[in-house]
Amino acid sequence: MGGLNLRSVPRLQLVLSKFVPFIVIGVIFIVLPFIAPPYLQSMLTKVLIYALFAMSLNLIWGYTGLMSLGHAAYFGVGSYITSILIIRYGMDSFWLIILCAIVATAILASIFGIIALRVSGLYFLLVTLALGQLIYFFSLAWRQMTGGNSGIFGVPYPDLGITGISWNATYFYFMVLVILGICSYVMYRILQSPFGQALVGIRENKRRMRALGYNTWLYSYIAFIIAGVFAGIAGVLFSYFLKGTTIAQSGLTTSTIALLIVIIGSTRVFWGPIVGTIIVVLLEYFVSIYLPARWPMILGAIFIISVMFLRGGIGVNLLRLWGRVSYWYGSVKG
Amino acid sequence: MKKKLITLLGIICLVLILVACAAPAPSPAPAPAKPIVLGYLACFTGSSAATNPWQLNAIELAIADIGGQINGRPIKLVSEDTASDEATSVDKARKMVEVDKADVLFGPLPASGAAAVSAYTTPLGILHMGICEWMLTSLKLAKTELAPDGTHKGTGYYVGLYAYDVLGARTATVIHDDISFAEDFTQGAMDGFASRGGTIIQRQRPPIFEQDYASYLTAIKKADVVIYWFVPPNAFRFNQQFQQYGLTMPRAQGGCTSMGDQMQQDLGEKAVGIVSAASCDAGVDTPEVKAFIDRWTEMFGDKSPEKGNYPEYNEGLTQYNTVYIYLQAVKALNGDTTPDKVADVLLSQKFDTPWGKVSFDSNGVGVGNKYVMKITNVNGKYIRTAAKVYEQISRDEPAEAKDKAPKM
Amino acid sequence: MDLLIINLLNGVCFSTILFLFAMGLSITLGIMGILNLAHGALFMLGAFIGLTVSSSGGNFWLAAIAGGVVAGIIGLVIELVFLRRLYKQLDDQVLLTLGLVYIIENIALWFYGGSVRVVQPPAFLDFPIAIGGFTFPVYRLMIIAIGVIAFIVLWWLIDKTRVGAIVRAGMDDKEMTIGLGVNYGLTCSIVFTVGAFAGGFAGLIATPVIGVVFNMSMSILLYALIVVVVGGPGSVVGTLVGSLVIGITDAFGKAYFPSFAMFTMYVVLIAMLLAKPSGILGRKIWED
Repeated sequence: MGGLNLRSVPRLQLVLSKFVPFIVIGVIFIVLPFIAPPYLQSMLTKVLIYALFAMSLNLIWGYTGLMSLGHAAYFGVGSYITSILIIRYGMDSFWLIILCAIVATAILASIFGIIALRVSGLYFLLVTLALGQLIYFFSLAWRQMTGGNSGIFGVPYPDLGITGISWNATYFYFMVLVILGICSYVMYRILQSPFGQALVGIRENKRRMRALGYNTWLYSYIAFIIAGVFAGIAGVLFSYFLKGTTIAQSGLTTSTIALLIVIIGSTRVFWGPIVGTIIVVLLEYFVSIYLPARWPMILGAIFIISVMFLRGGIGVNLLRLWGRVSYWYGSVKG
Repeated sequence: MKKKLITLLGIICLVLILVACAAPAPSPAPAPAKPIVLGYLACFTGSSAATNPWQLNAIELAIADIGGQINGRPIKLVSEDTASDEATSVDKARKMVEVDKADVLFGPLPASGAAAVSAYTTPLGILHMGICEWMLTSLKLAKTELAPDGTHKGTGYYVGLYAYDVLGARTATVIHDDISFAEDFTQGAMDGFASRGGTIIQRQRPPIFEQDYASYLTAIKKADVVIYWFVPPNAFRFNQQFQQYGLTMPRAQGGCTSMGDQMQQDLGEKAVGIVSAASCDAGVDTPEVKAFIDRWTEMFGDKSPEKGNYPEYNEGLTQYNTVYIYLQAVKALNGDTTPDKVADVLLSQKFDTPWGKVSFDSNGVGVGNKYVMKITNVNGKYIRTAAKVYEQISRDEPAEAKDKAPKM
Repeated sequence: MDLLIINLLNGVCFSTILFLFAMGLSITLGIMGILNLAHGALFMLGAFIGLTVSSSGGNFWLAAIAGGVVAGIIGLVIELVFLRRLYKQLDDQVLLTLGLVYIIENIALWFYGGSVRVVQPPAFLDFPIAIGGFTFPVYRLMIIAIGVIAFIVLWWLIDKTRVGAIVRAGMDDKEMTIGLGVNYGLTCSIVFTVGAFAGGFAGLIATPVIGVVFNMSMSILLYALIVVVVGGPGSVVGTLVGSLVIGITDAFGKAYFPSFAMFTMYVVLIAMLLAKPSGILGRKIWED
């Protein structure tokens, strides 16, 4: 954050300024449901879920430098497990279901990670793509369990084991918000830790990290699994949101939307994906009002613009803006 | 300069959020009477996009035919793109209910999308009607879930009967997409065929993403009839490749008509003789249907952005019927659109459509005519003509035919 | 035995389409280090343009060439405007070309509608012949013949001409080639255009079999990716081998385990990537 004169800014304000983006985002999301019309509320719930999914992708892409074209596999598996356990096996408890999903996606990611991390660059991309497609076609073929092309529907609101809650969309929104908050906090701590910093080191210069004695494979592998698990959690939430699951949740389109969200929001900034999700979902909402049949075209245009012009993404630029504001504030005060 | 632009963009987006929240939900026009809002879940993009332009025309015609208003309440159509995707269908359904205050939801076309929306509408008691065949499970969820076109098995059943009775087939080979409604369609056809005494000698299930049926056509066994059902693109490809492999067996589409007029024209001679079943079709030759087509042509004429010279009537017909039936029910209630009351009327009365009377059984399955349509060459145009009518039947498989066909 | 031959012919026919289409992908990946995910959209465009030509009265072959030419031009434009700037930036190439796919598909939907369309093959080819106890469409035999000719032409181009020599030299050592005074950029553009032409051409000749529809870009692209990885990028013979492997496996897979055919393709891809990433006959790109 260039231009920040550290000596003239008291310590408390320094700490605060680091957390301000989170505070701002948090406040917006807490206040919004009360002032927003109900449809927007469910859109916001979708934003929160996709933000979690995108943040998990950012973990391996933005922070570790591994672009995955098949990240939706974990999202889809998390979603399917939820729908299948509830509808086919009559399981109720939200906590049990999310635990199963975490375990399942962790196992899946650990298997896929071993395969994918044997190669790098272009081949990593192709392997992750292939693995994602495997899940997609596997879900399609296993019709008895997953409903195949039609999907599986009928998921009610989550059973938290707490009596006396009469669910509605607003409560569900806050539940998702709380879970997003918890997951974000956990991810944040992971990424701020030495482990997380090593990941950034791997992204920047893998050879150097290896020379310094780091087991880059192991670090990447663990990051891969963690990213998969958080994607799975997002999938669980999505299943409750959609009241079911379809093969689209593990498909290429879902993976690519996540890529777009991360790149628009900023890969270098932790809360970047949240901003990216808001932008993409909002844009889709407005476009669907005026030019519904042209949304894919506009989506494509956004991809191209992001790559050619929006270097760094919006998040980074917001940070710079914030830096300038703090500097101005600091220099005015001092 | 670029950076400032980007930062500005970021701020604008944040502001947009706040504005979107601050903006009040669109309120109904300050007319003396609240409009009747029809919520239509369309497929403008995605795999069912082929059926786009005609649906809206069909609904407009239905609205015009009822008079544009009921008891002083103007009728308003709101349509949204579901991208042929289940998740988006539910999203848009939510939007139409919460923002547009829709009184009824129609669609979407794919049965799986409709099932997803049913899961949403049922607990809220919102009236939801189908523009195509539905799964029986969706219909049984609530009395506010109704499908004039019935179920998949119901449609396939009559093709099975026709194959035995009229085509004289005694053996059949079955092939269909490996998805649940293709399975249901052909199961219905198989049940109909077997209930008459026919034998099914083979069943193949190519995956839905299959485009080249070479190995299936090579493996197909010789029978008196080929009963198949594919989603429109695949049905098209299957029929294109069928004769190229030198096959000459009669083909029966064991379910609803899924090839549009343009596709039939493209196929030409390759399409002649194919039969399928429908609740309504422009090729049915009755005065009421002719009058309907005249009204359509008068209202829309050449308004066919992408279709060249072939207005694909069939794609717009089921929408017309369903909406028209709904509007008649509301008219019978003098403009009362309370879902519960409208559902009661729908379940108890008979309604007019150009294709005869339609009513509903207790499950919400339509009761009406079923037409077996055959593709014929009429002066160089490849169109469907009615080969047989099954009058006033329940558009679900009859109980006595259930499970008549072997599990293959 | 006859059934085996028929399935084999089915497979080889599909291999030909794949070969013509995947050549473009293979060459751009091999020489220019560019992953062009929009290549599938060029296949679709070639088919649609050919459809327009054919329905306005043009003959079949004219339609095929027209489709190829338009695809070639659009490919060239994409290369010059976008891909040139993204040399070795893999992530960006993926995102950009994906964006192009969305746009091109939506334009196709806009202009041609959502239905599957078909161009009927030339009348003199539109009949079946008997092979053993089965029948097989003559048009598909024609496709195989076209493939053989195309292979010979392309192989000659790459192996025997100066342009081909430049291309091969560039794949091995780009700096040196440029240093020797070769206009590498021009060569790349020419090669890209030829590859795009082949893709569009393949699109039209595949139409009498599988038709053309706006959302077919990614499915054919994914097949081609597998072909390129298995056969090895940057090599004509490699692409041929890859196409044959994938096409024939696909045909036999479909004949014996239909639901799992696609599944098997991806398993093959993964196995190849793990065992020998450079493919059966390819050169290694990007040691990381």
